Amino acid sequence: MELILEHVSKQFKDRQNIKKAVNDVNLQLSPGVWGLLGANGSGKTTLMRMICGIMKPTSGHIRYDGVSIEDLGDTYRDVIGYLPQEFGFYPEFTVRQYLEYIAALKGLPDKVARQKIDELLTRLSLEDVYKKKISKLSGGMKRRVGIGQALLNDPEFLVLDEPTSGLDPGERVRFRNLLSEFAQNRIVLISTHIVSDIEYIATQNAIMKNGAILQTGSTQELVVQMEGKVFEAVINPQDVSRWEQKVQVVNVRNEADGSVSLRYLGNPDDIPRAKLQEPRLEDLYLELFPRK
Amino acid sequence: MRHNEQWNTFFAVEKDLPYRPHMDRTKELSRLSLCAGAASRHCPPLSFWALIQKQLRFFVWKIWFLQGMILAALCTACLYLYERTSLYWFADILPRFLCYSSGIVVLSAVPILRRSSHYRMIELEQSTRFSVVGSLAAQLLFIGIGDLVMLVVLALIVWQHGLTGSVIFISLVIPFLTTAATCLMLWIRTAPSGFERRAVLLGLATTLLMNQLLAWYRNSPLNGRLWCWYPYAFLCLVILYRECRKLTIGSCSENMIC
Repeated sequence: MELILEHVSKQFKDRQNIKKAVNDVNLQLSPGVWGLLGANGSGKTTLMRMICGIMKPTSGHIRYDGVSIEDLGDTYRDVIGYLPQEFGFYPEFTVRQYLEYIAALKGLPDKVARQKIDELLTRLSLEDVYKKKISKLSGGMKRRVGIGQALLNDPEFLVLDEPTSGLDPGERVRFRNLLSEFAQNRIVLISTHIVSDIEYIATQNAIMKNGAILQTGSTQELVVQMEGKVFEAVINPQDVSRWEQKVQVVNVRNEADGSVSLRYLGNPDDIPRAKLQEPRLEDLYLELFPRK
Repeated sequence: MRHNEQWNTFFAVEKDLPYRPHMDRTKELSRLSLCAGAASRHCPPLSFWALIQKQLRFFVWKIWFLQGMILAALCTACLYLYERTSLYWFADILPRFLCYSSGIVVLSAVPILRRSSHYRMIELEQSTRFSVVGSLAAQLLFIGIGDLVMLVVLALIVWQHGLTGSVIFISLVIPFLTTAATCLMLWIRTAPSGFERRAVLLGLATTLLMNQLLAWYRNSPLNGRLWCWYPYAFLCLVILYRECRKLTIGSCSENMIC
């Protein structure tokens, strides 16, 4: 099982400009959890839409096990599950009705759909709310319904665009565990801004900027390039804004004694008495996508 | 030398191997392999008609309820006009009333067709087996059945009040086909955000234009020659068929998402 993207590009034309949302992407997705990292507007959603067959690439090919996904048609869509970033629902549907509706569109026979829906309602802790209208649910529960619909057809390839937005930390942990369990012998592609989600579960990552893939690799392989660049220094609270203008700050933490710990990217001399830190994926993210 | 000859012979044979059938067979085997994988987990998938039947309980009552309300309003308006105007005026305004009613019948589909994009379901539906085509085809089918019933009821009412079949055909059916064809063409080519407003404007403009055209026809030497409308009706039906076909082969779904 393998999904290969070869020189995939997508451009959009409006009246005056041509914008290249995805620019010559080459990627080989094998079973496991893949994290797709990138800032807003880097082309992640467009790439995911092309992978799901919702949009056609302007150029290039996407092949599943060697065959173009266009040639595979509805057979390919049988094996994918997709949760879009802007996850919508018809407001009059209850949770169960919604899952039944999506199950019908996925071509699941009645009996199979019913079994699968019952199983997912339990796994996603939605048994108490299945008769409620989706519009009445909290943000986290709505997101769980969205994840549920993506898993209805037991997909071999799961594409999740910002799946954990709106989930509290407990739900994010539960979601990570669900994905890790699901991802054995399957391809899971997650795009997110919450770097810690990727860090814990992704076996491979791809970093995207301005429509192109900057780097790919495991978290360890990517993070190693930040060694020697991440430091932490203890400063006075009133100096925080001054240092924020001089160095790339990753994190500001208030200490119990009233001082502030500043984690930053740069050199040890930038702030006096700075100590070298173990780099994390978030540090690499901020190095590649600095805050303006 | 001998090795060179062998290589040359080998490549000469290789050139003759038909690549296209080989590629087609590879694709077919891949599809079968994927289907077998999916089939090992599930029973055979739903057919398209089974999907249409399932859509009945999700959407049809909403569509037909809305159309029923509009039909009731149109019938009430027609009866009101009959009671409040002289027979002479009634006979004169009835064809115009039918023309405007046909536009309203077409535009009654707009709130239904924009639901997928309005509630951001279109992207999700597009990623499924039947894609957005399955859902839209079902909606169009139910809308079409509802429109047919509305047209038949309106035609029966005005027929009972003295209008002939030919006048009903020209005043109701022709404007309906024209407005439906133009609105369907617009829907397939317009981004969802702009569709509703443009559809209403286009529908109104088309209806007004048809009304003027029919007024001209009634006062022209062509009046009474029903046969001259047949090719026009046929052209509208061909356009409707072609646009529905574009929808079913999914060539327009990207416009609907962006």
